[in-house]
Amino acid sequence: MFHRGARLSRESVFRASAITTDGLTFLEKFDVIVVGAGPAGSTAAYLMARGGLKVLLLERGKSPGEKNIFGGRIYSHVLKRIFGNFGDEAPVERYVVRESLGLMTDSDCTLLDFSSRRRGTRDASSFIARRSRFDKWLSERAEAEGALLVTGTRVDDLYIENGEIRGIISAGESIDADCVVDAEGVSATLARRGGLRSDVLPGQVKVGVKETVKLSREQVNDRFSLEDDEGAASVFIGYPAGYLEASGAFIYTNSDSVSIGVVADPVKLSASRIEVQRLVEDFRLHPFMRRLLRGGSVIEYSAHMIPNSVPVAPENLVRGNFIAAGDAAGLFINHGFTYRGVDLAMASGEAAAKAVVAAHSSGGYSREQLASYHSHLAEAVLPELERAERGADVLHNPRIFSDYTHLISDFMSDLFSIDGFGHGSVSSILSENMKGKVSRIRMLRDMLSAYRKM
Amino acid sequence: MPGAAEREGRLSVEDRTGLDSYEFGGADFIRVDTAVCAGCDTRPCLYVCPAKVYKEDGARNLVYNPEGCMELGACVIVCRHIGKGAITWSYPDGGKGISYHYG
Repeated sequence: MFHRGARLSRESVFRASAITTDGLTFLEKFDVIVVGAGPAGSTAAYLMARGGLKVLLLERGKSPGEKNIFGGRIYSHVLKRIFGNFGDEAPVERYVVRESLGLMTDSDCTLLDFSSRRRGTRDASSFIARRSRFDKWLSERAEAEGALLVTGTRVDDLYIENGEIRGIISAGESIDADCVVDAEGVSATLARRGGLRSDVLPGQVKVGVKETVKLSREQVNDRFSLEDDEGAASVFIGYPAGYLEASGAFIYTNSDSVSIGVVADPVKLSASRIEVQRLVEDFRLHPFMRRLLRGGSVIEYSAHMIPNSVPVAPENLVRGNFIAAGDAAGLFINHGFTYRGVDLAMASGEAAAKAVVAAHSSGGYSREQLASYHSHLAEAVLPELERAERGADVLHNPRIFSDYTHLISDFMSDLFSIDGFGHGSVSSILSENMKGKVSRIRMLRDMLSAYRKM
Repeated sequence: MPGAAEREGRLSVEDRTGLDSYEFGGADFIRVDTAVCAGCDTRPCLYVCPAKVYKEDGARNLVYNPEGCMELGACVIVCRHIGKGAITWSYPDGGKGISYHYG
């Protein structure tokens, strides 16, 4: 069907024929088109190609991953299940052995810091990666299974005929397929067009802005107490995100650089008239951060939207022969202390692949046949998302991000300051700091509520 | 308030976007009906765009420059629901726009 695909350059087609065992395969209709070679799309493409389907994987970047940015961490359970010992071949920057949670005011930082050498580094539950490398690697796994990857191709629309989704449209040319897996990412243009989602609302996304700061490998190791391929992940609330609720900041250690950034709520940013670009700079210039990053220089400035909630009833993530996965389906977990997107994307790509392969072998792609996507998601991904959604209103409690952050900071400052005799007891220091600022009853209620929901 | 030493190391948005790899393929992927912006008090685009594609000139007119767009798409969402719906936005053509190395 490439005869009409003018936008698919000759070079692409040439490359396609070079990597396809049967040079003519691509002239036939594809069983499935996957939109987007990110973690969801490439996982789906890999598994569907392995299941014997003719898969076309389309990516708007010149190379998979170049348009994608995230904080920095991937929880590896899905990757392990699909690829086994991925660490031998996947582009891992560092394995996370050290985790910290920080409360920041403009001058102070209170850290809860946990490092563990209980398991071998490579058995850590998460690792830090660069998407330009990781996504590319994953797309190459899909290609190796026979999926046809075409990059530099923006999908503009679904190809719909008589109300049926027949494929996609790119630069005015249509490409046919029996089934379309939408892994286009957070903007979810096709998902909306295909009726899987309604309009994306400002409250359903967050804005993530990141700076990559160059340090040497030794500097990263020394400043974060790491060695070899050990890595550190930190999440902060309070000052770095302008004390805005449901917002935070992060640090992830790459091999020889550090990712720092801020995740903020666009509704709060707009209402408070705070520029998100300023927040990430405030964070970088915070006294705590300046000392961690001394001598380093910013080498890249990047940003992305993050989905914030599942926008529809999950059973509506399939319609006829059209399935949404990953960020396009709104699959993301933000606990305030963890951000998870890639493992959910891969798990949903896997679920989509299972449903499509089963439908293919039963000879059709009706809604009923693809409905198993929902049951695959319901096995693992959805219960976790629902738990996170229940905890979400804790993240919208402004007292946590401002009042309690200041309270704990002041309490710590007094607790550790000895300026002579007459240092009070712990409880007297606490009640002194709470006086007139925080209601005990309300704080107790907030703590209980956070404990129950999270 | 941070002291003078702590203010050092400030980078403008242009300093930062200047670090990125970018292949500009034309400006028409963002279009703004700035006449509509004249009646917009909230102007959420000014706060959510990390590249400062959207700015106000000396007379508080909204001006925009798609060069440097980091391709979030947050502007169009906040404009539609918090602002006045003046922004039309799509990703740049395939293979064009920003390329991140450390994403």
